Amino acid sequence: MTKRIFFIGLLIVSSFSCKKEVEEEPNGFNKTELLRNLTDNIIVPTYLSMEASIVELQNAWTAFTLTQNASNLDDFKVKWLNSNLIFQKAKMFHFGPGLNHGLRAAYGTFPTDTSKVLNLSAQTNPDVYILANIDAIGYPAIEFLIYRPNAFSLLSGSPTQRQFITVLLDKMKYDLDNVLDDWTTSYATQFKQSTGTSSTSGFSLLINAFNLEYELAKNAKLGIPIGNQSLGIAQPQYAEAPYSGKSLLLLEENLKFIKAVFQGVNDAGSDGKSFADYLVSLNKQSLRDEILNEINGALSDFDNLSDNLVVEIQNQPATLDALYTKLQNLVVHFKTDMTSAFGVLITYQDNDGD
Amino acid sequence: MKYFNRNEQISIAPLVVFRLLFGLLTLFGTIRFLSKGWVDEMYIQPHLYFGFYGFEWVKTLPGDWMYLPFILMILGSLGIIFGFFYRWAAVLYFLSFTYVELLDKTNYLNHYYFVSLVAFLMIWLPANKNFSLDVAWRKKKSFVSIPKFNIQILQLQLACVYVFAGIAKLNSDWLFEAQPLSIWLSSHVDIPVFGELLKQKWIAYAFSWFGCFYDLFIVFFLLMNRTRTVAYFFVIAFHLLTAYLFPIGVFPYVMISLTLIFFSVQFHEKIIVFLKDRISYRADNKNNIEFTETKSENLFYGFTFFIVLQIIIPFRHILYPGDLFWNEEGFRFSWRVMLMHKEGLAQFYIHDSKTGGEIEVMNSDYLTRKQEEQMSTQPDMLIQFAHHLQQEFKDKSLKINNQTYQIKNPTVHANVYVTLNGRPSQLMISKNVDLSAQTYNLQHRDWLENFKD
Repeated sequence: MTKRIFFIGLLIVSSFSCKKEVEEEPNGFNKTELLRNLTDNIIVPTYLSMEASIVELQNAWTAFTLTQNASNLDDFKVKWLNSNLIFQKAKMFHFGPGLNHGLRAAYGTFPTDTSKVLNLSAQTNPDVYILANIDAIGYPAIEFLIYRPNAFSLLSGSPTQRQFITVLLDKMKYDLDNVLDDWTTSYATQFKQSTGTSSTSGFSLLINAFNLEYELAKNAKLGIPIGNQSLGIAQPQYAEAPYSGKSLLLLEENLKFIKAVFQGVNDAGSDGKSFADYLVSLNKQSLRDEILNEINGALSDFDNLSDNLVVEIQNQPATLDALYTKLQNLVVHFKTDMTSAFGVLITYQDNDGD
Repeated sequence: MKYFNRNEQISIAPLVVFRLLFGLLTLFGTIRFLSKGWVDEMYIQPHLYFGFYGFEWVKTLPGDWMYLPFILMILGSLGIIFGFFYRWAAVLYFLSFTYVELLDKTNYLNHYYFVSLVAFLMIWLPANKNFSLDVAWRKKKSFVSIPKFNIQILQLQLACVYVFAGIAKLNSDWLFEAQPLSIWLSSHVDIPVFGELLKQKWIAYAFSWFGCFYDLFIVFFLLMNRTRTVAYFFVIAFHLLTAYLFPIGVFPYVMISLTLIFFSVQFHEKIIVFLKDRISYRADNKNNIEFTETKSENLFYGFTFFIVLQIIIPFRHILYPGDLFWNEEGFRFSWRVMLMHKEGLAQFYIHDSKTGGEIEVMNSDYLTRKQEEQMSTQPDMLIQFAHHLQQEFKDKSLKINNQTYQIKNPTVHANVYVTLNGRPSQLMISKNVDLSAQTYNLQHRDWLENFKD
């Protein structure tokens, strides 16, 4: 009897489903393909181009230490910016090897502690590997040393400061080599196959890292400096890259990459399976379009802003507020609508679905 | 009615098997919980806890002392399994387990509530009156049969779980949208062979309708001799499937084991005889036939009251206006499992009336990820967190740009967006509402935005 009722149930069910089935178009989406695209076309190439940029930085710095002139320093500054812009992409992958080797914090902790930097760079054997010095290394520390007032003469006059930058670049190369090594030897294979919904699956790690990266960009690079966590009183001292004045350029690059990952495209023009395609396969084109509209809207605001956040806090606070509001609206779509559609779990504890 | 004849006697075997299984499950559950490091994550690391209304006085023990209730749970479980100082063991388990569950509603699960209820019932059941150390070592009297209602109360408790879970599924999202199962099943698209199938809409409908039918009627099929075996096959298949697809921990195994209580006396006696033979257990006195206590009558009425409560509690939501899934007023303790997929974003703001300034709150400064995730969609947790923030910022001095600002009377506001069962996200709490001025109680929360379907 049980069986009979079960089949009657199934009959009712299938009569309901006929109508719906027509709407479906089997586009063969699968998450393995998404992870493969991300790994092969975005993550590993990003790390590789970052490594190349650091080698360039090392070469440019060697050139400066051999021949200390303004043009060699200017050349190094160009390479610093180039490399830092690539880091704005690579730092998203804060899981697996990137997390294990602490890449994000070691490369990009800001604001840098200038007195600590000066103190360390006066030593003959500065320890740049301990956690306590995390805010005196990486791109922000180098930026301070090469962009501060009278940087050229100060660096020319201090062999230990020149040596300090060499040590910092060596550490950056060392960390990145480790990350790349882990990705290419074993992690990539394991990551591509890990398509489940548990919080430890590759797919969940990716979506969570994506959301966190977006929130970090919004809060640390914009929200905190413009005063959203301090009674509306701007705190320009928390701006990124204040010496070079490139803070908003870094934020823009960061957001452009978030958009690129969402769409699954890379600089070389390859376009593979992505979160956007996954949304489409779930019949959520409108959500995809809304997300793209909003992120394009936010990106277009940068046309009216200079690269320097500290300056714009003075000149165009309203434009910055408007940009922040746009970014805030987009968080809702990433963290609720998109995450919910993908059925990803944030924690790995038991739940009963309520 | 024959089923509820208070004086009818039945073999104690089903109760003894139930005792063994329940003790083994709680032992396994406790060890599993410990081994996953959840005590630290859920009860030592957090800075604040979301107490249940009326039970906010239940507090955590300092630091590693939080392991103590779990050690007591292990001792209680062992006492239950071996029937050794059985009643004390059951009391110990019930109190330590329920204490932990009351600490933080972040971790509320229906199956934890179920375990609490069954542990409470176990305190009153004569489950140690046969095949136990209380009989073998402590020379307590053994019995062959007990009043039948001692078995029936457990059957009724299980029936509550299933039937109410089934009733809860009689809603349009579940039946006509196949939600949230559509979301959950389609996320398994990469499972070999079956992945593509799970993405199909009709599969989600089939699962939804079958699940609803199963929950509503499985108990009746288990009660009838003719259908029991087939029904139990479905119990195993159903729960193993859910265990495979969803992260629901030990719950499937709890249900697979404990539904054996619906099986015949002969079935359970075979198990007991087999076990006794294996360990050459001969302590039970076959001459003491019927276990009757003078308290038995009180117990019968106590159980009746218990079950009546169990039937009323899941219906308390009808006292509230508005959408049950959205407002979650009267949602818990009602066997509403697998019904909702909610994701929320709660951005809190501290407003300082003196400067007119505002502080955006980073939830992660105060909450674990799990707490934040749960809080972001549940109104009673949102108001609890708002009150906590008000306390946190009251009379706080902030140093901004080398100037000190004293916050006198902060008000707390929030923009909360929630998506329910795949719908586009919508506003749940508007920033215009002063949450610090709202009281946390069991009345309808009229400051919630209405759900728009």
